[in-house]
Amino acid sequence: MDLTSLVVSMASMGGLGALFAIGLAIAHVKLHVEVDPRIDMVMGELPGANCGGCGLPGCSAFAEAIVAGNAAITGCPVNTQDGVDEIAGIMGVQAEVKEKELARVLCNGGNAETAPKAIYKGIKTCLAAHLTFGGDKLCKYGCLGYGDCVVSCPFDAIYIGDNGLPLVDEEKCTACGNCVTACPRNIIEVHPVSHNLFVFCKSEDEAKYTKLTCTRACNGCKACQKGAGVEKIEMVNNLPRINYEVYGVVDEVPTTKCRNNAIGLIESVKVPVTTAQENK
Amino acid sequence: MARKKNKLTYEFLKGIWDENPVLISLLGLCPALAVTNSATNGLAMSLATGFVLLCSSILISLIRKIIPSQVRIAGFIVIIATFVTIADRYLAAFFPAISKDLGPFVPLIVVNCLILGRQEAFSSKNNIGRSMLDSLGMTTGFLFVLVILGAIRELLGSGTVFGLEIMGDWFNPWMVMILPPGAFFTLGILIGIVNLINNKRA
Amino acid sequence: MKTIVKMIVVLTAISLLSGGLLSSLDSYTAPRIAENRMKQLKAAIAEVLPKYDYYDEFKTKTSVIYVGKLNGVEEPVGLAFKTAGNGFQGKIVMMVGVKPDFSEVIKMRVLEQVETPGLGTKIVVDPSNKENPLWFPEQFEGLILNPAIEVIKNLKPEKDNQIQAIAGATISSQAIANILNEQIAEVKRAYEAR
Repeated sequence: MDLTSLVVSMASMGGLGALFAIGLAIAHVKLHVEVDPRIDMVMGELPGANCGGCGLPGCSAFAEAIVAGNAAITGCPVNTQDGVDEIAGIMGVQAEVKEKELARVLCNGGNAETAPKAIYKGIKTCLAAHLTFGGDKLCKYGCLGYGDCVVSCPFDAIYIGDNGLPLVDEEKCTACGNCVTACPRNIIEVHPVSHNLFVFCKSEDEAKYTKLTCTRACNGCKACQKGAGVEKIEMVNNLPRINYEVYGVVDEVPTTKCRNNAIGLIESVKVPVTTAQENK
Repeated sequence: MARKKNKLTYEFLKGIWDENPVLISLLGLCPALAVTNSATNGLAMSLATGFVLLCSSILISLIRKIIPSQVRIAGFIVIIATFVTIADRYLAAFFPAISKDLGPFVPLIVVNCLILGRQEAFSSKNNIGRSMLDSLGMTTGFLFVLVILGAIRELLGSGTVFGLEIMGDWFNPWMVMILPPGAFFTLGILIGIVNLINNKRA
Repeated sequence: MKTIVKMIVVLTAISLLSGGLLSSLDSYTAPRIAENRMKQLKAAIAEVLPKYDYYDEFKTKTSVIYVGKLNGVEEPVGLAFKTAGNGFQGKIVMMVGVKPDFSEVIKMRVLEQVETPGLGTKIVVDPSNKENPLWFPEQFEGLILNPAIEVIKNLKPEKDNQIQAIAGATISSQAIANILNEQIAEVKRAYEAR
């Protein structure tokens, strides 16, 4: 073994190594970024689903916002109460209790109830259908059933039932809101579980149209408003809007005169609806 | 293939199909395209890469706790480059014909993202046993792809496989197969087939 | 501070070890590699010269001429040297053997080329010509060098300094002729001025 070449090799390699290490050391000092260690700790207490339910792009952004004081600890709808408590402990604040929320599908117009307008041969998504002459059903406010909400759910909590309407798995639903954004007709809404009275229709059409479009549509007859009172139910564009703050928890429907059973308590909707009436 | 994620055998088997470096992770495409004009070259390149991957994985896994994160990349590259030089010199000394055929692609193993990728993602975070299994699995997967790709290209482009005449005189070789375009679409078809099979399974 | 010291120590240590390892390895492989090169060179020279017992090296400014000699005979049997230049796709390197008076080529052999497979590569061997796959290099055996080598397309060459181009690879064929013409002339000048 040639000693000279060995020494030269080691010296040159070692020299290069040392040189670059010194360069990296200088960079380490000059380019150092101060990172709050609490961010990583908060990240550890978040579900890590990156669903965007908090309104921020991903869990790491939410963790940074919490530590910076820009986001509420309860802002993550997916997190358990334990997780929220842990984060409260890290940040040294009182933990709040947030009421459980769920996604509610506010349309009863499935395949059995609605009348079709055309045969649709386009891209089978709700958005594409909705943009194509207002969809393949006569009612231009109702559910199209192509499942954009299903695709958008990161928790597998929503699926299209036999009747072509989305059904929510209340165990899995975390109220992250992705389905709300995905629905091009804003049929799905997130509500606290204490809200139990809903109008299961979004149609702004009057009676002379709804009798053609759907057997469960709200035709704007105002019977519910007359039954509950104007301070509890407001009519906007032929649709009742329930004022949940004023109404409180409801134990019976405000009227029995709703012709198509468009307004109802949430339990009653869990029973699958079969209609006797066929729409032509 | 074994589906249980944490069993030791899975660390090996995942490199063959589930996380095949070329067909699934799309790493190491440069040598996969460049030196697969014959099955022998594909075999030689994958063995050379495997040697470098295995040796550097062992060493990096050994020092993973004492190397500061700031010099991680520089350190890994020095280690990988050392083993690549060893492989290159060894080939030039004992297999000069293959060394000539593989040409500049043996030194290019240093920047093969497959190797640095495995070290970053795995060997720097796992013990020696797992790192070795991971490297062996990845090498096997890489070897399968390169040999199959090389065999297809050689068969259709020269009528031979591993130098043995397979197609008779009747066969007019498809010159394009041993040129770059042939490499690209053969690899593309292989990746497509693998994706098709995986989608059918899912 | 501790981190910085650790950084420098670890990276320097890795580099030192690398340098040491590679240096030791080199002393093991370098002789083999040199041997391989020598073998290749000797084989190439032997191919392009007639039988010789030993060769002398004559170094010019740009190349090395291998002067093949028989034992006890003053006059060399031939001169072999490498020529290189641009082909169609890249560099072409040839070993050419010429008569000591530079009147004709003894033999030519292509050592390195990256021409188009199936076309330009016919300068080495042409598998599509079943009777004589080596027809192209064989044209150079006994090729007259004065006047300079000419390349003829499509017709059979008539004069002794002409060779036929490869159909579809005329640029590769012409490149070979150009390289040989230029460099043989250069070597001739240097050798005869010694």
